[in-house]
Amino acid sequence: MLHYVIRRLLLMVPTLVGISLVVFLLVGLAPGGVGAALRGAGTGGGGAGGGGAASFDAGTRAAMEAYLDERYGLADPVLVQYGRWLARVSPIKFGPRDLVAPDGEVVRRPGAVREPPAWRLFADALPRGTGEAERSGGAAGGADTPAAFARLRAAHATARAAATRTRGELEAALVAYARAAGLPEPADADGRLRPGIFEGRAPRADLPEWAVARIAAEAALSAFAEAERTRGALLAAFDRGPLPSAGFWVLPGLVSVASPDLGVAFSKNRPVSALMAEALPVTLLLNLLALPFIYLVAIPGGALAAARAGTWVDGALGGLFVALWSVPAVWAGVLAVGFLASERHLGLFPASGLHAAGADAMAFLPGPGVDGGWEAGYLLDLLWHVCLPVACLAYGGFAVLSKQTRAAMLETMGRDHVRTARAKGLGPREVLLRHVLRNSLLPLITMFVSVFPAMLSGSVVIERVFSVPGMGSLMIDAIQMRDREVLLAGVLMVGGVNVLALLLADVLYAAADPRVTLG
Amino acid sequence: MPLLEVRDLAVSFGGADRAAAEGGGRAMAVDGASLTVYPGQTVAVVGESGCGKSVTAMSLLRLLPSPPARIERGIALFRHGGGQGGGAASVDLLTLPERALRRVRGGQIAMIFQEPMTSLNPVYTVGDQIIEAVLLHQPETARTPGGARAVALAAMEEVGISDAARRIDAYPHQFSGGMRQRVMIAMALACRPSLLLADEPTTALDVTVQAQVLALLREIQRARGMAVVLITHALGVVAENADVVCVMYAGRVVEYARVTDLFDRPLHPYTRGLLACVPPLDGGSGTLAGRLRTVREVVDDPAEFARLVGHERGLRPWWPWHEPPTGVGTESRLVEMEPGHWVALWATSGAREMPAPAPDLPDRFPQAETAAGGLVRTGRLHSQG
Amino acid sequence: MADRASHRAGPWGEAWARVVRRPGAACALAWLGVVAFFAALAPVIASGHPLVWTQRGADGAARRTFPLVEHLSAWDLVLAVGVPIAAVVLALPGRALGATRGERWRWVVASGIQAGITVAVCGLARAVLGEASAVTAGVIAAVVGGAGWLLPIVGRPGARAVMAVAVALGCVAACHLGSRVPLVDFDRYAQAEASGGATGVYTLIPWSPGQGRTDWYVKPPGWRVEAERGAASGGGAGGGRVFVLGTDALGRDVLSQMLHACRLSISIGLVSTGIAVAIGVTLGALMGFFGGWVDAVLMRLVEVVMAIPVLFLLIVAVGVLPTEWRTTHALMVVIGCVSWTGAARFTRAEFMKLRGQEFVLAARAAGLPLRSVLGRHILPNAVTPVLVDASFAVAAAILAEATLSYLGLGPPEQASWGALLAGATGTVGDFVWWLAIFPGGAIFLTVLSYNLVGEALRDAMDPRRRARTDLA
Repeated sequence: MLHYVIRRLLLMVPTLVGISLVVFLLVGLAPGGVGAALRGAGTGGGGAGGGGAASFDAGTRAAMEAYLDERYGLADPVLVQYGRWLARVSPIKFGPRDLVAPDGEVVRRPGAVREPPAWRLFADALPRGTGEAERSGGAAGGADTPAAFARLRAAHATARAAATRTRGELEAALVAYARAAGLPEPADADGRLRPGIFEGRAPRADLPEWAVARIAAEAALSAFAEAERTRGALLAAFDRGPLPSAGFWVLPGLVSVASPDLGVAFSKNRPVSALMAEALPVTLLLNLLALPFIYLVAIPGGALAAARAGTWVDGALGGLFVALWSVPAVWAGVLAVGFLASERHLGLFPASGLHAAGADAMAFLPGPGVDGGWEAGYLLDLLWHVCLPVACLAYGGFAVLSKQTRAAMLETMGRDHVRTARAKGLGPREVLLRHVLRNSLLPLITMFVSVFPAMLSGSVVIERVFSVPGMGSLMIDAIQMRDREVLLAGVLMVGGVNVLALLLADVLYAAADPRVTLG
Repeated sequence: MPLLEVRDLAVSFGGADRAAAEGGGRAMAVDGASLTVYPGQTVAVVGESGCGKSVTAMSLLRLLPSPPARIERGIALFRHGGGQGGGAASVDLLTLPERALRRVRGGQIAMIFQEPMTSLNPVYTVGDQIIEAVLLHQPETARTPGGARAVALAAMEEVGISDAARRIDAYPHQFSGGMRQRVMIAMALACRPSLLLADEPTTALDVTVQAQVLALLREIQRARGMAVVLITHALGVVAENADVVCVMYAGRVVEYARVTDLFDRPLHPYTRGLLACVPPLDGGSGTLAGRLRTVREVVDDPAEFARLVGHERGLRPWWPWHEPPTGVGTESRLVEMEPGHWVALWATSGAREMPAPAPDLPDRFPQAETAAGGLVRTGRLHSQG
Repeated sequence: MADRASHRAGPWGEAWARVVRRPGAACALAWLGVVAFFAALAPVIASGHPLVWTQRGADGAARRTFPLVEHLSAWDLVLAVGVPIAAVVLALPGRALGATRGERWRWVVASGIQAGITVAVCGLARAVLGEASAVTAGVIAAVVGGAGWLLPIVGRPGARAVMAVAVALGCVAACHLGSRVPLVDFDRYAQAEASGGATGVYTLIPWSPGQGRTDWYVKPPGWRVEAERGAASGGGAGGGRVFVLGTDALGRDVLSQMLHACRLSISIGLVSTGIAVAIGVTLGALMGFFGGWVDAVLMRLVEVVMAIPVLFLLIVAVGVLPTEWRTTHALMVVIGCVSWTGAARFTRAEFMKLRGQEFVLAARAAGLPLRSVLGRHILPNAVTPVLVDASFAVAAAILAEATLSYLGLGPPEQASWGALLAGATGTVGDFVWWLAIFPGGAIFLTVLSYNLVGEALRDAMDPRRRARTDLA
């Protein structure tokens, strides 16, 4: 059994990789790619910087795009981007280890700074005195303390940002110059400068755009040099290990194991793992509460329908469950919110959220309140808020499960061992409970397999309707903000939970049926 | 004193499908079956597939699913607590209230089935299933810890399952076919019933295992004085194990006699046809050299019918595929042609004059000798499995 | 009578006869018929353009125009005329037009496909050749559409007549119409009437789905529009019109939107399921027949797609598309590409089961090529469970579209039940009940109908069903 579980867990990895690849490709290969999405092209008003992007001037836009390219590596092909993301997310890392800052953020080795485009045209504008001196000069003392290291990081970050910004501006200026010089098609579809476009052509210093480009080039080159210098210093300090390293070595120098780094959410500027840690428990709470509820209602319902098969009870129950199944989750949620929850109608339940305002101040269990009245307490308040969402999640599962129960029980009832049990003299109730139900439970466990993904799907909508801050809401917001990191991490989490649930179902099945041995 | 008297049992099957497809009406699976079982006796019910023998047995315990199946008429008088002595009350199984019938099932009348593979619940251990039966009918065993388990163990050992103490906690799928049938028998007999209905208990087993199981049944029967209704389609089994034989066809009893009388002097052409299918070891008389006659040939042969005593008085054996004599319709009559030998005849006027009491034979043959000359093994056989 | 008819039909015909007999399924089919009716005829029943517009010119003479017809798109016209004709052709009893009902179904389907191809080709030709070449485009389309006559299905004169009508219709529609007039100002009709210069005869529901005014914001059902200013000419001018089911947040009539949304839901349901079945059966057949590494690789793909809950995948797939790409067609393709795993698994299982059976070996031993074995012998058997499941798949696709529309990810500018539903709680703090009950009810009834039909079909095709619950 243990072997089987371990093997299945290992098989999960390719599945998860596959899931992330599918989503990554979806996001990356969409028209315009992630870049266009992040730049807000076509969102028509959604997303940070979306509607406003088109109204910036070319230089600022270029700077913004350069920033995004830098941060997300958007200039590279999709598969390279994926590889980079995978390397970050995988717990098994190759090469030197990253460092961990005191606040938990993972500090990676600074990557190379990109050169300004077509800088050779302006080679004479290179600032003097850069180079080795500065690189080794950064080895000056005082760089070993975390504070000094943080200063170095900050310096590099600033320099890098400046280099990026000036590079963007240079690119825009070069495009303008190329157009003025009559060069055909200087920019590609994304507005980036085509490489090699100036090959073999003499610079047209007479054009006003040339002067603009030159000034931009000077700024870009000096910023680049500064960024290179600070990078050198940072690298040297990095290798001296001022902060604790992330993870631990498996093969020293080559392979290490560290916690996966899911990145930082673009739209919220918080680490994705923190967002997940807040949202995932909420979604799991809703689904896990709904699950036993479903089984509690569906199994007796199905058993009753099977016991009274062919009578009006069976027909009525069947019809009721089909009708319940057909009710769209959106409709149920909207009706529930509208009629049961809003103050204008019944107002029985809270309309949104998981906690009342000021819930944090409440005691956990019900007891006497602050002003002498009776206070419900945190737990009861939570349960009260969770009632409607869980009910809306659960009702869909009733139909599926009860129908399966009924079918399984009817099939079992026709089997020979039930006839033997009756021939032994057992009454109808014992026969039903001990011989029919027990044998019918086996397919119900595997039913779990299809119920759980459906519920996870449903919880997206329910969370939106009831404004519950779970994974569903997170994902929808991420879609509208085009936040790739959150999307990927979210899909990964949900897919992982799903696959784990399937594994659990298999293990339970093996435990329940003595004929099955997991190979 | 007979233990069980079945008189004119009729069971029909019907339902929505049938009604729509065949223009209404129900199908009579059993149409007027009668038999009598005495304590310690083995009555074999013989016939081909579809003749109604299983339905007869299952309707005694009312195990048939009742929307499609319906008991049209008949009584089945069973003597509660009937053993060798007399004097216990008789009840009609067909009209007994459900609760009382449940006490009879398993406790007084036990039934074992054809397919041991599927007749045991795969998710419970064998011991659990036997103990369940024990606790149901002998609740006093529950008072002592391990009391019911001890009874179950004893039952398993009695049917010849070696290493019963370990095997009692095994699952059905861990047993072989023959062993499973032994488990079924153990489960059936754990509560010491006075009558065992065995519905083709060995059909699904191979021949050697078949012989072992039958020998086991005979042994237990002799030890406890239990009566057995043995449903089978194998004449060899009948010859070796039965005291009284009831031949059925198309839901009616066609012939009813002692086993010796039946094999020596079959009266109904169908029975003669069945026996003619058995290849004679000596090249036999009455058959075409080197060729077996089919049942159809025998039954359709007018000469066979003419052999019936009383043919000149207009007595014709009942056979549903022949034209009935004029004015008879579909009615048949189980007539005692010779003392202790009943045959089904068309209900002609001649037949109506003949005596037709309900078939009733109290004979029991000691196990060692049967006139048919079959080999009989005595003593218990230990299982090898 | 039913038996005799089913005798001639195959197992599907028998199953269908059994389905129609169940009361629940019969009601479901009735509702679906209603939805299909509105899907075809909605632009003609519910439009803000008047049917007949009589303008009194300065010279006193009355000029009559037909704005509604001018604003219909080619598809609208084809459906509005074609579907009633098809319904009449199918409803004729017995052997009308020289053919049985089953054959007439095939004609109708073939004609529909032909008309569709004609319209599509015409549209394509016009897009390529430019607006001015309407006649050229029409000729091309007629040629392509007429090629349908070569189909073996069109053997009889009756079929030819029906097909000819269909193709002609398609050509006419596509040539004459085909350009969608952008934003129309519906107010001018009301103003013209108020000023007394014109009268119009309106359709049954005198609102277009896109026609809204801010002062009609969220009006309850039964609200009556007051007459325009200057109605001294005596009421009725634009006034007196009722919003039968109320309006939404943009002042648009709910009933009109609901009727137009019928088309969206039916088309998305059927086309997505068709795509999903096509992909699923193909992949499943490949996996089941070849086994080995093909099976291993494709099975991983199936697992990956199954591991992500459908709605998540849909949201991601649709959400990354820029808004102008989120057309109905794109949505159909996306939904289809996400829901194929069920069909693939069914087909794979059936293929694996049938692959080892003897009739396949016999066919191959007789030298039949692989393609023939697959297509003629295995595929028809293997596809049965998929087709039985198809009705549920359509229901799921409709639910998916409604959910996406609710979340705002559906096709923009397109009337949709889900989008209407979103308006119920959209306005903060207020619950608009008519936006919740009616569109939601329509979704519910449609999904319920497909589910009931699917259940009835499944029961009818399963020979082992014993306990019948003939209620539903």
